[in-house]
Amino acid sequence: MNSGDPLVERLRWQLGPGTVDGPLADERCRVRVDGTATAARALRLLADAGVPVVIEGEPAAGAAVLTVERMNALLGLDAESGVAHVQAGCTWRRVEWLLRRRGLTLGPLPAWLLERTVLESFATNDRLRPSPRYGQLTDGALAFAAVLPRGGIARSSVAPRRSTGPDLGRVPVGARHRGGLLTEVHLQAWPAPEARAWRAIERPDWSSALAAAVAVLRAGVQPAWWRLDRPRPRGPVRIWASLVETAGNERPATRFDAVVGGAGIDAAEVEAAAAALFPPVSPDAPRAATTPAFGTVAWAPRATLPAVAAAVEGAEVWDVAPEGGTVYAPAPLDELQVRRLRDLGAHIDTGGDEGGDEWQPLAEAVFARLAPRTSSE
Amino acid sequence: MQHSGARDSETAALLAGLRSDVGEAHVATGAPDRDAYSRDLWPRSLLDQIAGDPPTLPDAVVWPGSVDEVAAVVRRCAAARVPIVPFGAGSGVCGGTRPTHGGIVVDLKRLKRLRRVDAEAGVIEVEGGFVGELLERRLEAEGLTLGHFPSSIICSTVGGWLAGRSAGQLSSRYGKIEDMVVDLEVVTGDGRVRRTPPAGAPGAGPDWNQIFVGSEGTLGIITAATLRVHPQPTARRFRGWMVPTPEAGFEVMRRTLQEGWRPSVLRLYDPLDTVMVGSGPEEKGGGRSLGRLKEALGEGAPALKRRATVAALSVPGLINRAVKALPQRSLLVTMCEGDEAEAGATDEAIARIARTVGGRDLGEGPGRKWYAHRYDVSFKQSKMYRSGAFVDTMEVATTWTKLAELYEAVREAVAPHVLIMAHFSHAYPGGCSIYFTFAGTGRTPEEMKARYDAAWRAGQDAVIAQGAVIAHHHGVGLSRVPYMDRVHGEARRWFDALKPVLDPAGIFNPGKVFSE
Repeated sequence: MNSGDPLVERLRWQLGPGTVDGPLADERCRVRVDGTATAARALRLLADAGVPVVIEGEPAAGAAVLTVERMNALLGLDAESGVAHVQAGCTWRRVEWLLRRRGLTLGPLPAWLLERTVLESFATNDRLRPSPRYGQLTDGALAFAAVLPRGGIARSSVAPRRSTGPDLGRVPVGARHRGGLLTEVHLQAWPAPEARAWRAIERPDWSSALAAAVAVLRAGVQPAWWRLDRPRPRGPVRIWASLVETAGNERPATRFDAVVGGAGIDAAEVEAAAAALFPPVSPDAPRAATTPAFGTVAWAPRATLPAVAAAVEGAEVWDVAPEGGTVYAPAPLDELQVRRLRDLGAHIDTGGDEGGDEWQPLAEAVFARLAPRTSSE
Repeated sequence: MQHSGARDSETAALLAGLRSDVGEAHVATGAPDRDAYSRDLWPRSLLDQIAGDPPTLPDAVVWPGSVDEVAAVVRRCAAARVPIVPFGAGSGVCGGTRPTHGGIVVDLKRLKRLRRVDAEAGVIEVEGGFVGELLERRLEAEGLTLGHFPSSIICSTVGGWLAGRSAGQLSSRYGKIEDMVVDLEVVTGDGRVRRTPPAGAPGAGPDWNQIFVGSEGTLGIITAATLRVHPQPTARRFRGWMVPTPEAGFEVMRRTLQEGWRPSVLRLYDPLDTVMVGSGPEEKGGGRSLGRLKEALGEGAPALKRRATVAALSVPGLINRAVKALPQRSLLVTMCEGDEAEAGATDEAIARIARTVGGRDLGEGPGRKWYAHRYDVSFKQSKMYRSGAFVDTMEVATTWTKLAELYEAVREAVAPHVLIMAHFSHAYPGGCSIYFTFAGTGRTPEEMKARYDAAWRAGQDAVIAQGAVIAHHHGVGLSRVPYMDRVHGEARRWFDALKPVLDPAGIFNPGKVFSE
């Protein structure tokens, strides 16, 4: 049936049946793209028509909403190189499940990441997977495909490193879709570990715990996963670490013990906590009862990291490196707290005004140059 | 000025202003300085020189002594719309610092302060003009290392490394320079000094560190950087393995890295390069094929040997076909470091894997020999050119699965033009780079240029056809500009959006990275 909206009809004609809903009460139309080519056609048509586009967001009057739930395929797997070519609408659960069936893994994926899409993680440059061994998920891309706001397709060659100018693939990362719609990513995957050893130890305060964590890194041990937390205010700080091991190679665990050995937490308690943190990824595994709420993430340099962690109630330190680390605050921070942490040298993404960040106006100017003209202009 | 045809009085006013900004002694307009700064180590420039083609000279060379002086120079040149070519130590091999539009070359070597060493946090803040080897010596005295050891280390700077996405010889352990960056101090085209957000910090917008790294002076001038450093290793293990084929060597490298080991060197030579470098501990030639070529073609070589080598290079197709008949055995050199336990465990892990592919243990000799000669060939190439030959290198990268195919495709493509060999020395869990070395000759300078250009075109076209990456760590400069639109396609629009925002007057290193 004809919708009476020429743009909606044109989109349907170009993108195929079942792809476009509209006109709708809250938005002009909703477009469910299934791949890079479809997304490019849709964005080009919408740019030509001057219609604002919202990607995976709240409906807005007169705008087209583009969704990526149909863009959820594993497009290719190079098992030898450990490179998975995935569509950006895949959830991390889906990618990891497809890889595990082939003896590969992206590394430990905590429960709160599993239902998040690849696109969400890259568009917000989330730092939600602390892993010295495997790195942040958003740092593990060997190549990408993206559709620019005016519908052009950008695609990079697949390689571990390059020297062909600025890393232009980093423009849409963290740009919340303003630099373009990321549609495909080549991710580094790894042989699934043959064994996994958990360790948990305690230190009296943030300073000594962070010093112990850095000592572990300096000893050449790269935990597959770790975090530091303090369950009770002014109580001891715990370091939890998962150490990937190949059969017959117990080196990471023995090195960890040698560097920070001492009061360990009961093994059963550690295993139970690990099971809750890393639930099975199979599609039929029960989901978490509620989507975990994300608090605020702050990065602080080494000198002030203990003070930043101590200033946040219930803080967890996720991504420790010798030069600094990421502090996760489970509850939203108020303005005063944000200012205090910034005074301590912390960088905080509050999702809005960055408090005088001198780069923000430059980013806005770059995105403005990429954006199509909308009908309101 | 050549770029705009501005009047002499405007030029004089600009130079007077620059002198007031950086001091009379730090502005040069004489012919020797302008000539010296008209080229870098791009081999094509040497061929132009042999052919008598005059280079485009800069109008002046300035040596600012502080970041504020750099900013003043940028503001002044932006107001006059005069091009700026940032310059480190001139060791680039792609023509990235050639002042093709005239203008001002800004040599940053006076920015050589090590501003901060924080061993506890494992970071240093160092200015962009610091020469690599001097930096490593300073760090060594503090018990630290950056872990970045390009073969140009004695004649390259921190700023140059960052601008070109450089790789050091120990990249398998410490990463490339882009992996070492915490943040950057940059002078943008509005003459402001800015500090990028630290790597890993949350925030909206592009990752500015990775936008400026590799921008080759087209988006801003990198005046300082905070970089990660590491404790000096207390132990090293060297070893050589003779593996039956290059593919067997790939297998050892790939499995070692995918298992999570972090050797500092995994360096595999192809069959010809294996013959050239020799696998014994005491052979001449510096353990590097370019060293051998230099021996054969340099001024110290016997005339007969030199003539024979040039004659062989004049029939590259024939020689390359003959090379295919060589035994396929390939030399793999390894170096593992850390403390005694880590170095030993990594060495043993490689041994375990190497034996599964039929590798023969050659002991410490090949590794130690390579280590002793690792910086031998980054300069003095002009001696070979005087013999009527040319040499160059082309570093490309791809995934493990495509590595053998890429290697064959590039060899096949350039074989009619030059003698070609390769080694594989920057390895990652997902893939590896191939470092091709090629040598050729021509009866006249024009013929040499034609062969050189044909070899580059054929090689880069083959890389693009294979879907691989045309440059791993030498950058784009001028030499790769013709391929960049094909490589980046629509992604170029991101650069086109960045450029006017960061360089509103369009003065930074025009004509480099992307064509105008």
